[in-house]
Amino acid sequence: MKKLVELITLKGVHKKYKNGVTAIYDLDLKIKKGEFVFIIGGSGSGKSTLIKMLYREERPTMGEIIIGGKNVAKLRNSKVYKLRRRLGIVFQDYRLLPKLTVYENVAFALEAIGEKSSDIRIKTLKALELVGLKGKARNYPDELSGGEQQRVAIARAIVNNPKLLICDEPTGNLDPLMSEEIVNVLDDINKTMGTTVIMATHDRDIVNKFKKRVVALKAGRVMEDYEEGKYDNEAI
Amino acid sequence: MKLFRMIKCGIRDAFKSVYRNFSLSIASISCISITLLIVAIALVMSFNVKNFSKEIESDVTMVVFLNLGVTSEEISDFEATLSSMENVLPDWEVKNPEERKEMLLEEDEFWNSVGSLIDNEEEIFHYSYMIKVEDINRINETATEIENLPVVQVVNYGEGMVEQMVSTFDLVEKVAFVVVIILIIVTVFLIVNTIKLTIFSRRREISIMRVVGASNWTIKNPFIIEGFIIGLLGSILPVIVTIYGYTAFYNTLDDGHLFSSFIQLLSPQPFVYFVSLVVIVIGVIVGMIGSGRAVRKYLKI
Repeated sequence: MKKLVELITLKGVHKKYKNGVTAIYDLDLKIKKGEFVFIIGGSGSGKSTLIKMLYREERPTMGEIIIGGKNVAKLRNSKVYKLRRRLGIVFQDYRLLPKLTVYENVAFALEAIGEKSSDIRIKTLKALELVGLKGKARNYPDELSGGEQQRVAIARAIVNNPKLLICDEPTGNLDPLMSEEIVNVLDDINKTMGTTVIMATHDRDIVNKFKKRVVALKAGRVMEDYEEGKYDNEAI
Repeated sequence: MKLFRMIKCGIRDAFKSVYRNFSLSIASISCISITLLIVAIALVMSFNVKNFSKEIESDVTMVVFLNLGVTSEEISDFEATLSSMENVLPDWEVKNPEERKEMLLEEDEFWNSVGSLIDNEEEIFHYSYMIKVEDINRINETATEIENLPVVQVVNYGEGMVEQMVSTFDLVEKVAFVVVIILIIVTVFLIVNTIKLTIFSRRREISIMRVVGASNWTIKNPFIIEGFIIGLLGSILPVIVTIYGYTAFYNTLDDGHLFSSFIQLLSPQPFVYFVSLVVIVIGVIVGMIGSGRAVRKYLKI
């Protein structure tokens, strides 16, 4: 068995918003390289805040968030892009550009970081192949189903070969069949590329089906943390 | 290489958004064109005025007549006083009446013709000094000072006329300057609004760029370039008007003389190119200031 090293360490993380709401209380969490973790919890449990702090959209009020040896809590705004280049982020609403084709949407991520055009082509096609959408490269997002659009978003997130993939309720807008398809894609990426995947969700069926590590949050605190866990606690 | 690629992308995006917000871009471009047209006219005027007022100034001469029968000590005293005056240029010219009398007596014919032109015939028998001053604005002051000297009978110069001309030019220049400043402020404001709209229309794109790790510079770059392009496009019309307009105007005049041989305009070349360059630089700077302000205010990264 290969040795697992911590990729993410959260120590005493506390987040209080300016409006006085405290979203996260004293959170400690460790996630190893190559893990697939579901973050579950109801509305207001703090999962979105936690996810946002991981890609440094939000800064914790107290505590440390160490990703790949760097404390991102202390990262200056002007340096955030360096962190984001090493991450892939997938959102519930896909966030695709409607006027660009599937290929252009994925290539956009590489163009934005100044990649060479010859590399852009190779990497984009590879990412589209990985999510099974190579045949739809010339289509526009509105010609695709929700599941396919989300796969485009995943292709865009992994096109730069990140070590960490952060997904904020990626199946929130999809029906159960498509949700499963998406998590299958993520699972594939996790297994074949060794990418660490963190997925926030409140989809019970998905969590129960895939039997991954489950971190359950409630009111800003970790309630449960199970290897091969289930989403069966009605209180969460 | 990477830098060039990013700049290329920035320029492409900037042109796209100028096109996308066409009506507002046109408004900004027109506004900047009008401003720059006035700037160009003001520059052309002010350089010409500076040029010929300098010529006038160097030509203005004060004539000082001394009293009749001054002694040689009084003359040397007077000359010493003149030398000590800071506004009086040292190369004055003295006209000795004795020499003149001799000359005139020899040329009887000349004497008869000139004599009728002079009001006070006696004046030609006075000692007279042709004096030039350093600062034309203080000519009045200097003339009074000289007139107050005991040996001086009268001081003549183009009283009033020269000063009035200089102060009129001064006023025109100041008014043009104020108008230009106001127009620049209005233009900056319009450009801020144009870029603001671009930022709003590209909000989604910007948020995705941030997520995939585009640097702040990459995100801001197209907007700054857009301001640059607006400034550049806005300066096209004023540059054309300056180059062709001024050259045509100059050519309609008799050898560049306006109204009289007294006012000589600057030759169009290389003057028009210099003015055009200044106009383009101002346009581009104003465009970039506008876009820079908009980016700082509306593009939160």
